Amino acid sequence: MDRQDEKHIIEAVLQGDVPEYRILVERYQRPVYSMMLRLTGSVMTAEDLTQDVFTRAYEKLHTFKAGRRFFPWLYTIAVNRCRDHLRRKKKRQDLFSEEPDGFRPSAPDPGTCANQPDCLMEANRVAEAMEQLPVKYSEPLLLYYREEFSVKEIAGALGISVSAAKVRIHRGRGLLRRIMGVSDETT
Amino acid sequence: MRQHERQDRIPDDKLGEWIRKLPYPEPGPDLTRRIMSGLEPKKLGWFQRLYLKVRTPVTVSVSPLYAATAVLLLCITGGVFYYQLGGYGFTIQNGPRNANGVPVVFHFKDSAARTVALIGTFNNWDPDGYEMIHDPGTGNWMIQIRLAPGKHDYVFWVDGEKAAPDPNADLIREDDFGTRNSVLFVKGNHGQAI
Repeated sequence: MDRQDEKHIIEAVLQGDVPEYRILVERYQRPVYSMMLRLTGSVMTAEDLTQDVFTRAYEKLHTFKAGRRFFPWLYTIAVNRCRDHLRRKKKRQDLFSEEPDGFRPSAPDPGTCANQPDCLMEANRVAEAMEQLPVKYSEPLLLYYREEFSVKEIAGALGISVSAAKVRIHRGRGLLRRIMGVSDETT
Repeated sequence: MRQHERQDRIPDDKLGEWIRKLPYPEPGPDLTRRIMSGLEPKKLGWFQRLYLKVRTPVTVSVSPLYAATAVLLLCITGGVFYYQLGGYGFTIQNGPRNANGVPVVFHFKDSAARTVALIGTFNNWDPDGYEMIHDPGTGNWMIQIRLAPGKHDYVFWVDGEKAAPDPNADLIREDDFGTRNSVLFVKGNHGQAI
């Protein structure tokens, strides 16, 4: 889906064609849900927050600037919603000393490494290492490599400067290698 | 040899390839329906509908006279739209802010910034309606809002893409995404200037 398609969809939605919004929901709900699940560790909470993000994006759609990519804009809303949730949750934990939810490891899809045991082992190592990486490094790496955000888009979504985004991607890679137990020649 | 000193270094592109292949967890099959069922059709004002209409491309065959008239009308309409909307996209203010809170004035100095807005826990980190006013003479940005007594996290949202903590804040703390937020403690009913 390119920017032009998304522009037409958004214009249709703004003119009252609600079902068109489903295309955007189906396209982007998995990465949004994935972030929510990584950070909350709760399936139910992640689904509620994902629903909330898409509802907020729908309500604010008239503020979306045509010509930009929709997903980084949506992701910024998701990050802010998640940030707010975690802050409230911390406050509740401070009050009631709740145990935090656990993270769910995401095992790689065996289909990506058909008949290649070494490949699957390596993929498992990366998946496990990503689970251990602090969010401030794992999010920029996921956005950069998996969601194909530009460094500027990452900076905008996370509310940091472009140079900070670059540093986090660089350090994130280094930390990931360390967690995986391989040398990092860049450090 | 310590484990992290092993020489099987994974190159950046290989690492990126593995990250790209990490699977997404699947949300429940009902999530799309849940999201869509909560949405009401948009009810835009005539101004916004007209704006969308003129933005939508159409194919027409015209005579030179018709074209000249249309260009003139478009120029006038475009000029009015640009003036009203402040450029590209709509700017719709949020509803009235908390009228019962304590008045707080925020100041921020950045002469290079094109826009600055105040975002925080009190407005769900949403800059709409919280744009700060610029004084070109001093380079200062200012906004006055009312806040409920208590603790509020906030940052200045510069040029719509960068969060800047307040250097004069009571406290600065890092959130889960690594963003450094300023913290303000509002006490009682007396006004504050930040």
